[in-house]
Amino acid sequence: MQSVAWKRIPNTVRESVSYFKRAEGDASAWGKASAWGKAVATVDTSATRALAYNWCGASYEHVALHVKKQGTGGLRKLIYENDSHTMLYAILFRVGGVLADRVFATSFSWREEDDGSFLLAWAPVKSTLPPSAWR
Amino acid sequence: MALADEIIRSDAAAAQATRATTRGFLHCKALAPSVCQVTYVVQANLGGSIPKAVMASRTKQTLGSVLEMQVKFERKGKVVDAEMRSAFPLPPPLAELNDEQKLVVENNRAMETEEAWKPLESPHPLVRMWMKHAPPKKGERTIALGKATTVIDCPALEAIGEWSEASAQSGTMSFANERQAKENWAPDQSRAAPVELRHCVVSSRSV
Repeated sequence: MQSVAWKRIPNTVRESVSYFKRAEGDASAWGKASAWGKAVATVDTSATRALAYNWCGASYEHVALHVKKQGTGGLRKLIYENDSHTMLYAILFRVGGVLADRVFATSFSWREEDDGSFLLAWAPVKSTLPPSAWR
Repeated sequence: MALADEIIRSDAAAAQATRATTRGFLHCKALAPSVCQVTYVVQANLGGSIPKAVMASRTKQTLGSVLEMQVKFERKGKVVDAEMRSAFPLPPPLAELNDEQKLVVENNRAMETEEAWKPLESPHPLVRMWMKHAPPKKGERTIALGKATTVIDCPALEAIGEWSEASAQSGTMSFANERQAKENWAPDQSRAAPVELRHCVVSSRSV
């Protein structure tokens, strides 16, 4: 991803977080294209704590934030795979208007890199593990 | 049935929703024991047919989670800067610099040893200041050089660390506060990049 040409999102240069974008696929106003985004920021906490904050998505704080943005009643489920660094995250997003809601089922994994930094990566879930493999 | 499908089908609204996908990563790299750099990269494919503007807006909204993190963990700028300075690594010796770096260092050190410095009136009794104008070569503009010396009560490494952290929180905040007082800036611009505002016919300078 380092070689990708990222473009700064307009009118964000004064913000404390650097925002970048990249579009690919269909160039028309409507399409099946996917959008890429990137944000870089200095956060006043340790790398471990930053990772933990993002990993523990079932905390009261995260749930409250979700309810504030999406309202109550929508699907939001986190399941951790037993004895692993893997999490399954299913969430319903209300897009609004005439557009249909979107549901995501994503698999998250994390690891410690050789330089001591932490990487949390996610991709669409493909696991066919039986429900008993998760907690 | 896979667990993900089972979960989605268990919720009536989710079962009727369009399946979307996202992939990406979050990289947390330590800058100091309690300061880190977070890089968040995300790709969203909302599935179905959807206006690009909506997709771009949703992606930008997702990026906002980094700002939420920054706000949640924000501490006093001076405390964070002190931690950053104490974690500042020992700079490499001159012999380990590349050619371009050596050229910059050698050329700029020569500026200090040249003669003809004129003393300047200093706003502080413990800081001595000088100034001189380098004679312009043909086709070039006159360049003004400034020099200041003082004694600072900290180790040399800490001083160079402070200088290197040009975007340090306390520095940026004090700059912004100063500008805000003068220009009545909006509060959400308090972390703005340092751009010196000039009035009249002189255009703004990016520092």
